[in-house]
Amino acid sequence: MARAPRKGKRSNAQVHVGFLRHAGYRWAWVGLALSIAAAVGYVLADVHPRPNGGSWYGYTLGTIGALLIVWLTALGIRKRVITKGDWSLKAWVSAHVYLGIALVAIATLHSGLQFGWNIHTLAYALMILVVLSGVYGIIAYAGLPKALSNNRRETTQKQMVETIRSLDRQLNDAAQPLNQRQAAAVRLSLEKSKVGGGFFRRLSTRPMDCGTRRALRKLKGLIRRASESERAAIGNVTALLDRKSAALLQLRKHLRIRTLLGAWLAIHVPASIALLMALTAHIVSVFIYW
Amino acid sequence: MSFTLRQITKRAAGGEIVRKKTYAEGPLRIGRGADCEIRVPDLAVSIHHATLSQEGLGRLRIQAVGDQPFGVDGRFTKSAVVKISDVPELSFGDHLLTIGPGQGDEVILTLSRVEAAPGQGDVATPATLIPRAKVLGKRRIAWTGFLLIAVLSLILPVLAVYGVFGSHPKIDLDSQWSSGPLSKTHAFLENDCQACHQQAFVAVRDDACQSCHTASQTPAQLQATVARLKTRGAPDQPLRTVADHAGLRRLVWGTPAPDGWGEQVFDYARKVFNKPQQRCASCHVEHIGDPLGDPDHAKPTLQTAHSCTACHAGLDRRLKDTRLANVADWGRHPDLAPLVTVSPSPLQVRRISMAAHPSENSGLIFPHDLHLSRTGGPARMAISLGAGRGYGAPLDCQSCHKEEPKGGNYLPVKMEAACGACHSIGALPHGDTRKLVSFFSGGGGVVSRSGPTMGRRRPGDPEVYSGVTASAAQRIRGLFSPGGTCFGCHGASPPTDGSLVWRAGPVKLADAWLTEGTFNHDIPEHSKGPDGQPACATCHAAGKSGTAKDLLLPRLATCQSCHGADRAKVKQAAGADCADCHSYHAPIRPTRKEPAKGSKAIAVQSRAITWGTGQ
Repeated sequence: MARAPRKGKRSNAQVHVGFLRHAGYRWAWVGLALSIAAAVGYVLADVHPRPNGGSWYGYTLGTIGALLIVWLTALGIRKRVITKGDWSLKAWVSAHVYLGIALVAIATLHSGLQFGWNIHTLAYALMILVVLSGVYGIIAYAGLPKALSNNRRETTQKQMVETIRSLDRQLNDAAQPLNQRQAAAVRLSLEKSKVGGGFFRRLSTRPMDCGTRRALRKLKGLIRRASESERAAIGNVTALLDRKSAALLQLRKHLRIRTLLGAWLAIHVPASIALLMALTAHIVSVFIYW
Repeated sequence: MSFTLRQITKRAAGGEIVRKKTYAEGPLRIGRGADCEIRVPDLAVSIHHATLSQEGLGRLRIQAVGDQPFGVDGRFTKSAVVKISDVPELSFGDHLLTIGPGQGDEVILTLSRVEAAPGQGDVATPATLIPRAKVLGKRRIAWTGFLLIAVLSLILPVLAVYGVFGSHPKIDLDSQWSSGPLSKTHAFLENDCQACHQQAFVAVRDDACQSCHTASQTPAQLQATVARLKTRGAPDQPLRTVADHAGLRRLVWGTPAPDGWGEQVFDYARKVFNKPQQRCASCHVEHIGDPLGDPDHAKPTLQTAHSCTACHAGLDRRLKDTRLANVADWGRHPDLAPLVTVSPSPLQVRRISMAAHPSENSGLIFPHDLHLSRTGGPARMAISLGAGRGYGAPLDCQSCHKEEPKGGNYLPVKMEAACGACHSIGALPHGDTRKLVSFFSGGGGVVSRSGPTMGRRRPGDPEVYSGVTASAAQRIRGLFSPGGTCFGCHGASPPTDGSLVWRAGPVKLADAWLTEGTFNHDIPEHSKGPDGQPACATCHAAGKSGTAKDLLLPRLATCQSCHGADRAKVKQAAGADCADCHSYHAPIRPTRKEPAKGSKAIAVQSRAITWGTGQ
């Protein structure tokens, strides 16, 4: 398989090749070959009376699958040590991705499609969960960074937060002439414009209970009964609140994308660890009730 | 009384700015409004929130203007009188107003903002923006799942296996290890893994199966087993008991060594993982039922571990003491080897191959050819007897050989029924010559059916002893002399001890010659020709047999003319499966093709060979 092309004598580090395309999709081919070999063997293996994990072919695939799972999980250790070359972290991640997908074929064929409410199917389900979350992770990594970058528009998260802080200071000043009810509305924005929080809060970019939104709504009602000087102040405040709304939306979008980028790991990693134990129970139980 | 207001604000870069303002006298207004003397730039504070005024010497009164209260040393109130020397602290929104004594009658008012606790500033800080999930952190979930599975699916079931929770714990901890449902017959054991998996890390042994299914149980033991199973919730169906094909050790020795590297690998793996292939469970597989594809999974799935010929080809090389001939394949199947009666008295039987042209010595004198001749005396006798007595035509096989009521085979030939119509012995007792002595000595007469006036005598007609004057000795001698009633079939020797008891040759007719396999006469091709007429002669050359010494069985070649024959050449060609004539657990039977429905429990025993008792 062709290596990533080098330009002149320069290191190929300058030509960025992601882990998916690493070494000309070498590991994609390996994973595909492994899956096809497993499927062909499945058809050829004359397993009676029906394909199952307890046949010779079942044990063969099961052994391969178990070793794969242990190796795939070892990425968690490997990623903390960064090296170069064929066994660089990138190569490892590339193999992790494609062999992990091939594992679905191997484990499914190992099962002989025999499922039930038991530890064996639990291990299988956890494995599928791990792979699916991993596939989601790849998809997220393929599209979301661009969305993140588009949303940031040359600013950093810290700057976004600063912008909102600055707007808050201005709001605080601009709202000083307001009477108590009007000021209370502005305080909603200052105190209740929450960003972040739990998983689902971080996913929503326009929460209904956003203080700034509520402040704008309230002021709209209050402006009719306001005095002349208050109206002018409310005009200033509303303009600031509109700007703050936009700033909040940008920050929330930023956070939502970052959450989506990281959320899969919250499933991928715990499910992998649980899978290791389910796999152990699966194997030990088979040998105890041999 | 003068007031000095020190307003402290924090710089963004750090440090404080202190602005001082002095008021010669009160009252001072406190509020957010621009006209207030003490301006609190806090939206939580009213435009004019409260008024501070002097109240006697060294005291100040603070009075709220609107409905909103303010804090005095942590308590909220709308009106308060404070002592300056106490250095009270008033709070308005996020701001603190500290009152303290100055020089002379000066009062120093210090206004500052309350420091926000970390994460609770005027706007969300990065810490609150992206808080780490506290309860559901990755590591926490990971270890929770890991430990839950470890405890629930591994540790507790293992403890249950080793009997920590007793032999039948209320919660069935280890059935989660079952890889698939059991067949319906065994479903009642679903929650009792140890009924079969008796030892951890040891593949299911035959003992477990035989605890119910062994054929070596007496009827009483079988009843007890059935009763025991019933209390365990076994389904209401007969318990099948089976005999071993051979002992486990003989099976192991009889199994050929692995052939080829692939088999060697399997064999090695089986040895390493201690999973011998000669167990009951090697062929009768559980836990692989398919609830979707086969919901009526009635009994364990049968999986053939070895073909018959795998072991029976060259069996004598591995089992030196075997009596069985090697069978490499159907083409090299040994010839039929009937159990031949070599001597009727004392009884001696020997298994002799048809290839050796065995001759049977049952003690009976009987020429098949004479009786089956369509023109001889027997034929005419049968015609004259008429259809009313079941004859009316020349004799054929069925005249004497009657089918078993349930089919499949023929009943033993009984003299009285099969021969009696022609070879009548009247009231004479058959079977024991000693009874003849008492019969005649006791004055028993013989009445000829046809009477003495009839000119012709049928074979066996009691002409010799029809006279009433003859003595018992004379009569008996007549019966056993050439031409006498008994002599024709039995031959005889006179008594040597002076008594009247003649010795007729005993007759030992075989019930079955082939005792290690079966032949079903009910299969049409087995008993009828292409024209639908009985074709007994194809296999049994009775029409040409002049003596009962002929063993009227075919050679195996006759079987092979159809079984295993080329379908293109032989119209009636049929398969040549070992299972057509033999079965694993009971070689005498063919293998059952379909599960017998509602059949009775079958205690498979090698079919006992019974012998006719001299009739």
